[in-house]
Amino acid sequence: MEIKSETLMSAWKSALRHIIDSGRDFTDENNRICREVLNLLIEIKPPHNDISSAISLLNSFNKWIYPSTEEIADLIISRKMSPTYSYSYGPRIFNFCSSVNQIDDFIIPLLRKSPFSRRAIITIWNPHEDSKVYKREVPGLISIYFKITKKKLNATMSVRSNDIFFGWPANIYQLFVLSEYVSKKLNCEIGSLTTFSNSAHLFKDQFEDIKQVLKE
Amino acid sequence: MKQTEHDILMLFKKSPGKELSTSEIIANIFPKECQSINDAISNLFNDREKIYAAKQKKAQLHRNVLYYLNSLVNDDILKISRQGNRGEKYFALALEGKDEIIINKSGKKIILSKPTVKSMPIDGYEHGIASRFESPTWIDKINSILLETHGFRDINEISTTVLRCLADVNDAIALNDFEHAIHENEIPDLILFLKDISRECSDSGKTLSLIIDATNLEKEKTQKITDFLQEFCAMKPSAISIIFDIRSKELSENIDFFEKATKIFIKSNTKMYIKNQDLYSAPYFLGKAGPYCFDEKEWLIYKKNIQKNSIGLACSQATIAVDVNRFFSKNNDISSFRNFIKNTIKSLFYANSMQRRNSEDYFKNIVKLSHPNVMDFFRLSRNYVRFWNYGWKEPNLNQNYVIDLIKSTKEEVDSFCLSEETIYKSCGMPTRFKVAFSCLFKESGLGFSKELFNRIEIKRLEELYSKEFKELFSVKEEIVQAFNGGDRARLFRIGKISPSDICREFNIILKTFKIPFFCYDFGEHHGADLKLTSFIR
Repeated sequence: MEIKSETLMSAWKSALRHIIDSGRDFTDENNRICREVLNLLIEIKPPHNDISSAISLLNSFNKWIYPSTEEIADLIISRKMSPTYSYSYGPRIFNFCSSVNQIDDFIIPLLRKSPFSRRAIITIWNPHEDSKVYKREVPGLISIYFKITKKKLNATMSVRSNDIFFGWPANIYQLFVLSEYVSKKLNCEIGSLTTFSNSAHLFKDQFEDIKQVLKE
Repeated sequence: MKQTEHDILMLFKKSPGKELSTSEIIANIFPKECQSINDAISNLFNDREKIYAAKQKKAQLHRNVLYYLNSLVNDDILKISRQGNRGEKYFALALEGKDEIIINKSGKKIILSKPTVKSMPIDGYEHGIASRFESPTWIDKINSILLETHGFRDINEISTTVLRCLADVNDAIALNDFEHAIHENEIPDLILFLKDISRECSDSGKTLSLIIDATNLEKEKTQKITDFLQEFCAMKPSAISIIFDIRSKELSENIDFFEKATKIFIKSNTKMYIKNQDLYSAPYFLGKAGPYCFDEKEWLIYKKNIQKNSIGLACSQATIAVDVNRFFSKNNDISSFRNFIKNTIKSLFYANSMQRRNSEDYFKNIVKLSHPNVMDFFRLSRNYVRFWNYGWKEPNLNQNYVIDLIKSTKEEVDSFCLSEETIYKSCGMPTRFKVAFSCLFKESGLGFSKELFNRIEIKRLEELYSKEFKELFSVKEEIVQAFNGGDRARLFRIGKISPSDICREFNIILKTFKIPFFCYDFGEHHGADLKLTSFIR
């Protein structure tokens, strides 16, 4: 299924409606009932003026505390790894296996040298650490692919397990923040932002809140 | 400006809200020197001269740093915030009435600014209704930890580790399976350990629990445990408690040992703490704030998969105490209570968020100790909401109503915690956020309303079978159900007592009541012949 939209809000709401209407229910490892669709693609086109609007909406609920945009951005940009987290995206992007800066030492020089390259991919998933049967705290985000077309930087994020209600607004914002970092270095504009979710799901115990969001 | 003075100022600049003891300051600015001094002092193979030289070096460092600290106090840059029992001074920035202090000396300029404290959702309530436990160190120290005795070489290593961890903890440390340490170390070394830790705990106002798992008792070695208990009770260290983690089976099988042990505790009027392992296998321990425990299901997973190679666990990260009686004397509706608890939980969440981001800074010793498995150290950690005077009554309300209210509020709290974990995990920040409810001890010294519950007194074994006692304990059982963070029943044993009677009473309580943790207080057993009184007025 592909959802393509000019605005983030309409893309998000379409995705939420699509899962509610077409998803299949299952019970996950934590005994929570999920509704899921497989292989959902959501693409939003520039200029991304409303990129943090879903976060703002989730922040307006008194029921929970949603992380701030600073905290969400920090997670993908910061190279510092807090010892109390089992993983963090920033260190895996900028210091993979304590040795590879995938953005500054690969993506940027590669796209500078070959703007049409199809090799501009970074990986978050580390089989040495994550491909273990009993390990449960593993990244949801798997890889990010950059491609320049019509002098614009397009980015696609691949997510293995994606809570479209709580997670996707943060994920797309992180993709925007990272794309902004790369595009500034490449001196080009940001094009489309796409997420590809292997398991796009919603938790059934959040349906009331989701309906509330859909009404907004 | 001398280097030491500069280093002290930079230390406070980094953590402007912190209160630091002289030892902590020295450890921060002279880490290598402190390490070598501690190693020399705790090295059993060192001769007396080497130990003496190390102690002299330690005293020299103290004098040197104190010189600069006192001079900063005279300059009104630092203040002495308090003094420990052993006379150790604690320092904090003297920022009262100022937003910042600018120091301009020898071409160096240092600006010390007030800490940016995020306002918390409970701030509006804090007038004797809600209180952060150990407010000055509420965020930058962890509440309580449990260390696994088997993770350390010997009692010296345990001692050094506990002393280091005390700097990162603001309430309690427990040593699990301490019977191993008793079995494997000499009594004089154990006495020395008790003396050192007791002094340090008293000075810093923290507690240590030694958990003796009776399922690990080896018959031929029980005499050594008895000898240790004898020494412990003779010393009666106020900040250290011994907790017997037992099942009725082991109590019966080792009755001679338990009778001897009970005799020692009775003779010295020392409180005896019993944990019922049949009901709850996760350890219980004590802090000033109240009892601490782990979630039973999570503990069993830890025990099966991790404990063997573990050095220990964080039990509680932060605590907020709530005076239920005072809350309802000012607010009379249930929804405002639920809202109040929700704001309390949100405050704990913000506190945890800061702790996560700054863990290397705040819990330096713990991070170092558990490296590279820091994540595992925090695997079972929770936060505590502790209730004071929760037996509050209105003419139209009863105790069960209050318990039901606490239980239903807990369900809402659990749902909030689950949402936060889902949100943060789905955003790419796998975060643990759990909250436990428990009671608050009077010893916490939070200045809440006068206690409204009476004590439980028993004078003879038969009373345990009385209707009155059964009713009393059925209320307590309900409270235990509501308090997933642990509860303690304290029984004052009065009148004539014999060790065999007490052991029989333990057995009855272990077998009859669903009370996982109780304490026998022998402090007034020579007192008047009082009757059983009710638990809650």
